[in-house]
Amino acid sequence: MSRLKFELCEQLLKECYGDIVATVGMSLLHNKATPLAMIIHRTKMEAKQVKQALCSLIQQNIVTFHQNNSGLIEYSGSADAILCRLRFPHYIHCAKTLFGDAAELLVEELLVQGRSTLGDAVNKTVYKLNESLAASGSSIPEISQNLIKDKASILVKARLIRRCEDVCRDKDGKVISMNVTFNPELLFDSPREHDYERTAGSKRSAAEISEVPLKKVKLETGDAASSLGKQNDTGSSYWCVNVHQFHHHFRDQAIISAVAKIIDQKASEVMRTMLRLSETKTVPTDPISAHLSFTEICTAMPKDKIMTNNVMDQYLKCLSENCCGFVTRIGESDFFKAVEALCISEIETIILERFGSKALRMYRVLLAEKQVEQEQVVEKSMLPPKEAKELLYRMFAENFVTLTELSKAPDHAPARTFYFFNVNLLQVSRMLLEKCYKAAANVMVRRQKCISENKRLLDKQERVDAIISSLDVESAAEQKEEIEQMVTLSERKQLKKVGEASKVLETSELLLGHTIFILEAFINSTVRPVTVLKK
Amino acid sequence: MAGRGRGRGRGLSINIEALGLGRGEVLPSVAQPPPLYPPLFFRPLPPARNSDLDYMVALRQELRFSLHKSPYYVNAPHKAKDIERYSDKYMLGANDGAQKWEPDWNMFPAELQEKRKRKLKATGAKPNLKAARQTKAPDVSQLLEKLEKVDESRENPDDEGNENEETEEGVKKEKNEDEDDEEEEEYDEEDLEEETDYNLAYFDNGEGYGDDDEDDDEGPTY
Repeated sequence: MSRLKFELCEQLLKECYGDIVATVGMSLLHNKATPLAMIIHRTKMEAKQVKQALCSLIQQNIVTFHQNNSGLIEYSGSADAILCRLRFPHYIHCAKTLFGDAAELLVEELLVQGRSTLGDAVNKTVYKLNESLAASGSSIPEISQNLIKDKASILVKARLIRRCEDVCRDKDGKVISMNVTFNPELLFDSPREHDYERTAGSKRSAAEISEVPLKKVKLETGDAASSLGKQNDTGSSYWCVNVHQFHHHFRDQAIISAVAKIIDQKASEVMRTMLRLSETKTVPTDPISAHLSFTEICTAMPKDKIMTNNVMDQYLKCLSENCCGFVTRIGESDFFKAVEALCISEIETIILERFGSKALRMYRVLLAEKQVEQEQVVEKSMLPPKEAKELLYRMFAENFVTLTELSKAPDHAPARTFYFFNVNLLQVSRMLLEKCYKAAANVMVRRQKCISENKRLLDKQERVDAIISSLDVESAAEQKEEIEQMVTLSERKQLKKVGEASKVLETSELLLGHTIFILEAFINSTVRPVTVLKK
Repeated sequence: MAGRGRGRGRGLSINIEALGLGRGEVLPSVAQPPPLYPPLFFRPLPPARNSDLDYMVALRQELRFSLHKSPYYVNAPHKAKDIERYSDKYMLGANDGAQKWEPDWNMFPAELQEKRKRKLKATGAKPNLKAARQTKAPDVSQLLEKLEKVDESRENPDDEGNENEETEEGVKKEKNEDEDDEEEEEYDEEDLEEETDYNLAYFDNGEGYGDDDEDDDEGPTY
């Protein structure tokens, strides 16, 4: 956990949930698990507000809690859950492109609420959709609740939304900790009728919930089907967005678009089919997808894009030879290699923007050759020595390039030592990730300043708009014009400038979110094998 | 040891020519932290724009708006300013209009719940009054019985003269008490009349109340 990451987290919390929540959240991030009294002491705020903030944070799935050995409930926060807020628009947009407007509104509702009963979310979505239909004045009949319910179960099937973890209780029925899930399948248990009841959660009494002892469920984890049945009654009736599935989707999307860029559209279709096939077969954390056979891919291709065996064979060959090992001959797609390639291309773009195309040429030499001496770099990148040296040292100074010393003699005298330049991808991507965090936090601060500086103007504009919209009904054109002129020409110019500026800043926030996603995906993919070994 | 001593005079211990510097050149000294905004060699390109991104920007703005309106946005309590202004009443916080959110306590630890009932106990001096009256109530019924007897005894005054005296005493006592009460009430009214200005001008909106609900075990205040 780095300082810059925390800074970004703080900005995000402040923007989304206000200063008080940000203070409480940051105190939780800085210290591991903390009991309530300690939080109150550390933040030096009123108990009431701290409690309120904690409730907000738990509701938003940022904070989890458990009971420690001495019986106190300890709270702990997760920085990654906060950073997800950077990508909220991506999730919503993704849901829209995959499953349409209703899914978009459902996901948006769940994201804003943090967690919600499905019934509430569906009702609100229906209400919003019908309202917008009424506003547009179209003749489409009102959207029924069942339609949205179907959408919700589709989203569950696609694993884009899931049940929240249930809570553990002690003997008195007091909530003491979040349930650790034994079986992830339980979270994706398709919604039942009682999930759609409006206040399903609050109606159930604590006694009813504790009827099925948790131990029993624990014993039956091996047998998924039977424990599913058991958990049905006890399963949490709250639902939230499953960000991991969205992240998988983003990764797949990035791979597909990379293939489309390297080869062509048809190849990307083949890749898409392969990824879709493997999606259902592969454990999400595996670095390599399940093996796919040739005929499997052929039959699974979409109807309108079917190609002959011959062509397909060629495309697969192309994919396995050209795409940095995305696809290997055994018929699997290698996620780790793909993510690595994506990350490299991201880094290369940054080098290009910061140091120019000549530096990029040298960087590619370094990436290809692993360990290179200075003269070799200059030679292979075919640049004039002086310029090349300058660029190389500049990259070295900014930590994009690392240096390995290899001395022939034990005294490390420069004359008898080889200096190898190389690129440590993991280190570079970590550094860039830090820079991205910093940049994102900076952009947010900048935008807030921009807004607060022009607060008076923006407020005025808002008021004028409100008046005009209220006038619309009476359609008094003259009056409308008169009010419109309350905002002077120079003010309007200033407003336009502010709007543009904040739009640019916000766009860059979104793009930064994407870069952060790719870098994190790469770093996480390098970390994972270690954790697997530990098990 | 000797080697180390000799090495000192020569300046740098490494051969600086190998690093591409001439013999006479002075190494630049680093006496200050790097600049806050390091100079860029290339001006960064403006962020790319496409319809998807524009849509997401709009989504983001909408999201931010709805988050600010949502009950999960915890507002700071209004700070006491230098003076109280009339317009303060109409100044709204970011989400003052939002509906109050009550977490589903089946999913949250109970210690986060604000204890309302205890607060009521702390404010209520009423239960005690009731209790006091209840103790009086049987007296009243007894009194009524006694009064009935008095009436009866008036009808035939010769009988039960002793009892009559007793009951009259009881009645007198009660009357005295009643009078005392009335006196108190009148006194209160006078108080009010005299000090109206002060009492009415002082208005406690109750914001500061209940902050220290941890130490409400002291019992009711009198």
